[in-house]
Formats: sequence, structure tokens, C-alpha cells
Amino acid sequence: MPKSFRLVLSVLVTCVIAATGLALTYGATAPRIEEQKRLAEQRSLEAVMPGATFETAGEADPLVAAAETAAAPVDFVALYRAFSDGQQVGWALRLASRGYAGPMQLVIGLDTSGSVTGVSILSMNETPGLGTKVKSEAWFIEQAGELQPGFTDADVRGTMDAISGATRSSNGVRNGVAAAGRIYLEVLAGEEGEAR
Amino acid sequence: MKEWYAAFRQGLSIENPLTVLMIGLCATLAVSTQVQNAVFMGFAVVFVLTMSNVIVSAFRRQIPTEVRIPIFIVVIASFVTIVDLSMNAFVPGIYQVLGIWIPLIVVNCVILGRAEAFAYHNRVSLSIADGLGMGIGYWSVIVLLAALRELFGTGRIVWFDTALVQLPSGYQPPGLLLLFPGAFLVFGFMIAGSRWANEKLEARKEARACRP
Amino acid sequence: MSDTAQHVTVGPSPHITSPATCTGIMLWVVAALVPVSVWAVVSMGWVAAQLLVVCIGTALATEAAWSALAKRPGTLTDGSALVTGLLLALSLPPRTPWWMAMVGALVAIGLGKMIFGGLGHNLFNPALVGRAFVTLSWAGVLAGGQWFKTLEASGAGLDAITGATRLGIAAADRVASGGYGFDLAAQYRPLLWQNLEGSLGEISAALLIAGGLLLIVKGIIDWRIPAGYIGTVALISWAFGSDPVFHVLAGGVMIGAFFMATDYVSSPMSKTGRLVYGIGCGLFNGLGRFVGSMPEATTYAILFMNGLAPLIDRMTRPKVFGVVKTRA
Repeated sequence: MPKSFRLVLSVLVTCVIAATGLALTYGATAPRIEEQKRLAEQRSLEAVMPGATFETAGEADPLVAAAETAAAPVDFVALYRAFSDGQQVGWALRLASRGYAGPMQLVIGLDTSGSVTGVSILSMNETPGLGTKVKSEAWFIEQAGELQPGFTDADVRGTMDAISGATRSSNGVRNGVAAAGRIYLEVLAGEEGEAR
Repeated sequence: MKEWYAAFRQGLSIENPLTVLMIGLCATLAVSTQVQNAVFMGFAVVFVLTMSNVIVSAFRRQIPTEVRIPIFIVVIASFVTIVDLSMNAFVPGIYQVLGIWIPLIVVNCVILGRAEAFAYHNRVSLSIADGLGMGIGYWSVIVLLAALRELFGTGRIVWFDTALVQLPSGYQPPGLLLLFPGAFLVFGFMIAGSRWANEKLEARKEARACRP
Repeated sequence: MSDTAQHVTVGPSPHITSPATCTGIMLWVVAALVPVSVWAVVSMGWVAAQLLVVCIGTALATEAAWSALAKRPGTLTDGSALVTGLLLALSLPPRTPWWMAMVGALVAIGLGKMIFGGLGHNLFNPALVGRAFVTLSWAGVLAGGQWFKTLEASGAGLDAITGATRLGIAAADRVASGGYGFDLAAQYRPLLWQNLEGSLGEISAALLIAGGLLLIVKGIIDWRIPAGYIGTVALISWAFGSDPVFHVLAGGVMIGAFFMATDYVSSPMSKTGRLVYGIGCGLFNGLGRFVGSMPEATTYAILFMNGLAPLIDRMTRPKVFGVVKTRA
């Protein structure tokens, strides 16, 4: 057996064994990971608009493309319609806004008038103990509730005070809320009539 | 057995991967802001290190020298991916926080270093001892570092939303300790402390040896 | 003949002695800072005096304690700890809590200087190390209406920023509306003579300039560092379409350029190197103000250039006469 053949074979065998092992692990964990993701999203949606049921707006929905444009520079992830007793009561937006350390996944609830019903941070990589204060110091996020319907970027800046020492993380959340305001004004306002 | 214990003890003190060899610091300094994160990061490293040591050692006669590094990497990467997927499935909260640092264990020098320097030349039982010793050495340093940073940087130590330790409310925590300069600062003091302790130990040993 | 013999001392070179000693230089620096400190105490009240006493006292105590514990010869009398304490106090806002100032001075001397082996061995300016530690650690406490409020925190409305510095307001307004909420030129007079908004050392740019010029005239500091520093800040402000005079007078530029960046230990030694270093400090300070996330960047600009000082020295080493250049 030539030596080069032996070398190639040994790497190949390792890779095949590794790939099999990984495929098995993946198969075992994938459903659970999906479930965890769904649960986390469900919890966030529940938090921003308690008691409502949600319906994801599909890729084909014209609102999605428009919302993507309106959200920039914040990344738009998903749009949900919120229903209660068959009536549309508002919207939920999932946005990825840049914090101090990478994107923060935010879920923001809006009622049909355009007021913020709640903000929930689905995930973030902010510095524990500093940046994570945007979540642990409840007053910060509650400030979003004080915004008047039809709020603009300037309103967000004027209403929501940043947390001292966590300015960049606070800005991540504030930019997300401002983007939700833009999406409402430019895309969502008046759209709830089309609800099924 | 004595040999096994000697291999195990190396990683804990005189060849501690963090305070003595100073390898794999990048992830250590980054995730040691919270005890909770450090504990899981440490476990991930212990698992990957021990398992890759076992595999590398068990097949050390079959692995050709020329391609040993690619094979080590494949073995390590597989175990890291297993940890990555499992943590994502079972401790999603922690997984969110540790983020990129778990996949990056693949390139953590501690693990490749031990595979190359120890497991490839020693029998399986000793490799397990080495993996566990190095792993626990890593684990204890990262957890201590995180404990110091979290306690003095935030005033409390939190374990899954429950405060384990709480400093008096008058304490105003210096947020610097949670940032990177703080990590280097605290880690520097830890190295100094371990050097000092080792010196004292050596001195005592010598003194004992000199006694008639 | 025998008379002269008595006065000849035989010894190795160097034979030329200079009256400049470490203590002498440090005392001149202190002398140049006394007017600013006194004026700060007069204008801001006893809080300023308390801050000065705490910082200088802690700095001296730390130095003495460290020397004693490390069993090194005491270096208390060289005056460097006094200068560090004084500069630290001048770089802090008057209502800094006393314990915070104390920690700052402890870190400045302990971690900024002694841990490297004492005066002459430190890479960074000790006073700025102390200040950076304090500002990074307790940004919230320091910003709480007494000092630079962070730019975003001050929001769009002017009513939200009581207590912020002119520079903070300028930065916040630039971000919020693209313009300044007040007339920059009207600020020249308060910034020059009596400015109560910032830290102790920002009380009067005129007194700082006077002190700096005194040191230049006495040959204690090199004009190249402040000239490069201030010139670059002015140039950058102009390039960003702002008022160069305002930006040179406001914030930490004056005290940074004349007293912090010129620290002997942490600045380059060659003349060209000093100019490069001064320009670098000004560059990062200016850019920090216009594109950074904080209203002021003096501390970090100088600390960063401190770190580059050894490299600058290596690159600008003067040619040694009579030595043939060898290829590296």
C-alpha cells in the first residue's frame, strides 16, 4: 500500500466517522433546538402583548418587503399580526438592532394606534452586568410605553433615557424602537383593515 | 496509579493551562464576566479536552505523523460541535450568551496542544488523567476569574437569576472589571498570586528537604 | 599648583552636571499648576480643595506604602507622586465622591507606576491611568449631572443637560440636529477665564496656557508636543466644519497638551518623535470628539500614544555620527 494512499485514507476515515457522529447528534438535538427557539419566540411575543394570538406574515406579504425598507439600518426579521377574539389588535415586530457586541434580537409589540405595548429582548451578546442592564433594569424598557402613537425617531431619543455606562446597548434598543415607529408610520398604519 | 495521579496533577498547578502556560486566554477573558457562563464554558472545555485526548491516544498508532494535525482538528471539531448542539438544545439561555465562544473551542490552543504534546505519545489512561487535570485546571481558573470579576464588578454573583452572594448595597461596583481591561487586570493579579503561592510552597519544600 | 589639585576629582564620565534634577523639574511643574488649582478652589469652592487634598494625599501615601512594602528606597521626595496626584485631581470633576478620587489615586500610583518598578519604568502616564480607571468604572456616577453627561443621554432637548459641559452639549447637539445649540464664539471668554462646567483643570484655559508657556521657557517641556497636539486638534475641528478655537479651548486639550502628554517617562525622546507624538495625540483627541461615542477623548488619545511612544522612538532615532548604516 503506497504511503500517500494510507495518509488520505486515514483522514478520510476520520472524517466519515466524525460526520456520522455529528449527523446522529444533530438528529437527536435538532427537534429540541427548534422547540427551544419556538418557545423563546412565543415567550417574547406573549411578553409584549399578553393574551393575543400571533400569525406570522409570510415572505410573500407585501408588508414584509416594505417593512424591511422602513426598518433600515436596523435589520427586519419578522412581522406578526396579533389577534384577540378574531379581531386584529396590533402587530409584533422582530428586529435585529446593533448593540455594543453584535445584534440584539428585539420583539416589539405595537397596538393598532401605533403605541408600543411592550419590548422584549429575545437575545443579545451585551457585556453581562453592564450592557445587560437594558434587560435587568426594567425602567429602561418601560420607557417605550410612554411613547405617543405615531412616534418618530426624535420622540424616541427624547423619551427614552439611556442607562449610564451602557450607552451603546441602550442605543441598540432605542434604535430598534425607533425602527418600529418608522415601520408603523410608513407601512402598518391603516393596514389592519385587511385582516382576515 | 501514582503515575496517573502525577499526570492529573500537572494541569492543576505547575502546568496550569491558564496561569502557567497562558494558552487559550482569548475565550477565557471574554466569557469570564459571569460565574454562570464560566462554569459552562469550563465544562465544555473539560469535555472536549478529555474526549479528544481519549480518541487521539486510543488511535495514536493508527494516526500517521504527517496528517496528525488535520485529524486532531477533525476530532476536536466533532466534539465541539456535539457540545455546541447539546448546549443549544438543553441550556439555550447559556448558549445564547456564550455564542461564538463555544465553536471557537476548536481553535483553543489548550486542546490541540494537549492532543499533540500529551495524548499522541501516551496511553489512554494517562491521557484521561491529563485531559481531566488540564480541564479542571482550566475550569477552576476561569470560574475563579469570573467570580472575582462578577462579584467586584457588579456587587453580586448571580446563578440563574438567583443572587448567591451579595455585597452590601453601599458598594459601588467598578464597571471596569467587566470590560476587557478589567479581565487583564484581575487575571494579572491571579497569575501573580499563583506565582507567589508556588514560590512559598517550593521554599517550604526545600526547607523540609534540608532538615536532617 | 597644589591649590588646583585639591579641586580635581577623578571619576568616570559624564563630567558635565546639570542643575536639572528630578525634584527640581517636578517642582516647576507643580508651580505651573498652582495658579489653576488655586483658581479652581476659589471658583468651585471647598469641594475642589477636598478633591485636591484627597488625590495628592492618597498618591503620596500609596507611593510611600509601596516603597516600604517592596523594600525599595523611598521615592517620595522626587515629587513625581505629588505631580501625579495633582494632575489626577485636576482631571476630575469637582464633585467626584472622595472615595472615588482615592481609588483613582491608588490606581494611578499603584497600577500606573509602582507595579512597573517605579518612576521611569511606567509605560503610561500614571495620572491618566487613574483617571481612565475611574471614568470607565463609574461612568454613571461621574456623569450624573455633574460632569460630561454622555452624549446620547443628554438627548435632543437642552433642558435635559443641566450640568453637562459645553463640549458634551456641542457633541449631543451635533448628533441630534446637525448644528450647535449655542454660539460657540460666545464660549471663548468663559472657557479662557472661568468655566465651571468641567473638571478642575478646565477652569481656565488661559492659566493653563500660562503655566505651559512657563515650562516651555524654562526648558522643562518641549514645545513640539503641545504645538503638534493643539495644532492638530484645531486642524481637525476645522476639517469637520467646526470652530477650531472653541475646540482647542474646551475640554481636556490644554491640560492634556501641556501637562499630560509631556510627561517625560511616557513620551518619546527624539525631537521628531515628540512632534509625531504630539500630532498623534491631537489626531485621536480630535477624531474622538467628532466620530467617537464620547464627547471627549483626551485621556484615551494620550494613553494610546503613550503606548506607541517606544515605537515612535525607534522609528525616529537620530543618526549616530560616524556609524555606517547596517542592513537589518
